[in-house]
Amino acid sequence: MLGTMTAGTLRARLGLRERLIVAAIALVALLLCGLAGCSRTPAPVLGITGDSVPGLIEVELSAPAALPGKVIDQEAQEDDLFGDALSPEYDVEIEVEPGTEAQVLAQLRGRADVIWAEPVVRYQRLWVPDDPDFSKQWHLKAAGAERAWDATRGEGVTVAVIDTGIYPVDDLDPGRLAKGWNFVGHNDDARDDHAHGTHVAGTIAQSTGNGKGVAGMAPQARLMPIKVLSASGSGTSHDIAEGIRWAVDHGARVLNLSLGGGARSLAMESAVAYARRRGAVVVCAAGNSGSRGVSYPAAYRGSFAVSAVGPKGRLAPYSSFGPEVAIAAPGGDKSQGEEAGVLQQTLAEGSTTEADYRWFQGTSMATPHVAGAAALVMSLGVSNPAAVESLLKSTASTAPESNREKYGAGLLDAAAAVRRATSGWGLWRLAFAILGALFALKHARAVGQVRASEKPGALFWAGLGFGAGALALLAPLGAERIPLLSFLALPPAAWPQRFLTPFAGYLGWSALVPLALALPARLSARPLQTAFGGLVTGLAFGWAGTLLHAALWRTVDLPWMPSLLMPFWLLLSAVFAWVVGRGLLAREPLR
Amino acid sequence: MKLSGTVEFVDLEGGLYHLSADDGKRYTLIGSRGELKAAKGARVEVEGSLDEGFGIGMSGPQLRVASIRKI
Repeated sequence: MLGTMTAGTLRARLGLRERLIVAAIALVALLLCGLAGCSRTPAPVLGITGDSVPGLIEVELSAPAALPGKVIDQEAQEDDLFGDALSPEYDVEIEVEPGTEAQVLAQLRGRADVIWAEPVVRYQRLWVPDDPDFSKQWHLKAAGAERAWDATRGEGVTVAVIDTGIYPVDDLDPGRLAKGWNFVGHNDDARDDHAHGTHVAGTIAQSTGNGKGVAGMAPQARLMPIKVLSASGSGTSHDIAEGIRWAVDHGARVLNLSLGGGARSLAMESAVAYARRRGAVVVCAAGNSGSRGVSYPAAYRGSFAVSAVGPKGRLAPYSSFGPEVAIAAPGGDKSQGEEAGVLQQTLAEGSTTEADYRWFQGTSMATPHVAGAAALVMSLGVSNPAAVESLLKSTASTAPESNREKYGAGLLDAAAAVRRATSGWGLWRLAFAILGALFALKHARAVGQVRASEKPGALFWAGLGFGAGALALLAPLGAERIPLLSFLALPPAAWPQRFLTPFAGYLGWSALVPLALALPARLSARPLQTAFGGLVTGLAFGWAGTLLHAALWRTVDLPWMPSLLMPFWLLLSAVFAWVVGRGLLAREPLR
Repeated sequence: MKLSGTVEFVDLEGGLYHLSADDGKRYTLIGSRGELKAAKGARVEVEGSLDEGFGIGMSGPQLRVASIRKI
């Protein structure tokens, strides 16, 4: 009978259950949007969302004065929150009797010389590395590493350090060192004989959480030592170009080039272009001239040029700048003291065998913070280097002054980039999947293939959420703590490429999986009414949502696929996946 | 080429040595670190060649040192 009715009368309205599901998802989406920082985030500042540390209070004074309790730290601020550098302020941390904080705060807030007073709060983090000198690495915190680590630590991504080599110091896990090459000595011994490359490598992936020394940005990433600079710290364009090609051909997805020169080299320029075509992000130091003019290879098209900032986020005095600068990252500014440098383990001064923890500064030190952040993002299944760069730029925090030549898009914030790649994008995938599913259901009802009373079950929605990688929404809350959740921080469409080989990416980033699963699902008379059928139907719509998001955001790069064709491939695949889901709904039309 | 000037230690990239030359330019010196360290702060005469290559300094022309002599 239904078949004889008009489409208009059959155009079933959404059922109450579906509307409730949509409302619940919208609510969760809004909440997560807040958590995920979907909008551009301001520069990271000490938040007030964590727990107060018992007995600790921070006070900002207009002039030095006596305070209740014991002073445990104090410093004069050159420029305060309001940019009034003419009236320095005094930031003092005091320790009072635990339990009296509220009383002391009230008393302090009533004083005329107290600009503000607040309890010292601790960020809620699930994982705090136990490396004893991590607290001195202001630069990792400023780059957003801590908050990014709850979602990913760079597993599965190889970062090539094209430099003076890497010495296997004891705070570098030897298991994380990939096979490299020495282009200076023409052999496979790519050990460092200078200290520069090892320091850079430490910033990228120093062993973290090992109870020793210091931490690195992407501690689970693999490091590939490519020695192109001699013990004097210099090298040729030929060796560097060869090093770039070798690294990419041997699986490096991020290249760190903390080196440069003033001469333009076509060999190096074409090597950078080759690396980009092969899906690698090429992160380069802007240079240390302290003036306008970015050095090569940072100035090449295809490079991601990094300028350096000090602890206050201002451009370091030595940093080069210019229109090619893409982003700014902590490179240290030792004019503010030794500990305003970047601290990593490397070779001791003058030694080629002994290790030491040393404070370096330079745009070479800023670059590996960005390379590490790129590795974090790529480990979340973002394989298109342009998408990685765009993500890092669009989530960069606001620089202290508006000057694109000095800061590019702003200050690196790895945590914001990771949040967007997980919960931010997860929301979009889920939204696309739900809209696609509801549209298909509505249409199937309108043409009489699904009864108005026939509702998709919980397994349908579970399949849809799974296909859309909805669990990525929870990743910033601590995916790294739970191995399975870490796996699920990526949509399943990204798994083959991320966990198998780049070519296996064609398996995930297409409609093949839902199509293959749909064949057995079609054996049942009414797939939507069976557990497996419902799951697969939902999965097909979830997969379609993931593919559509990847097409629109251009997050994916597949081997041998021209980048111009990639969005069309993904778009077509999304349509196929949706058709698979729609086809399962259409099984045995009602008469 | 032969240049004279003063060797300066620059705390960049783990430590660089610059020649603040009498021709008014600054060169990043490429050579034995021990030899350069010994010449730190001294007026020197450097014999070497301009290196168009690449390096960790990224702060101006590089001068590859063949010999360095305090004057």
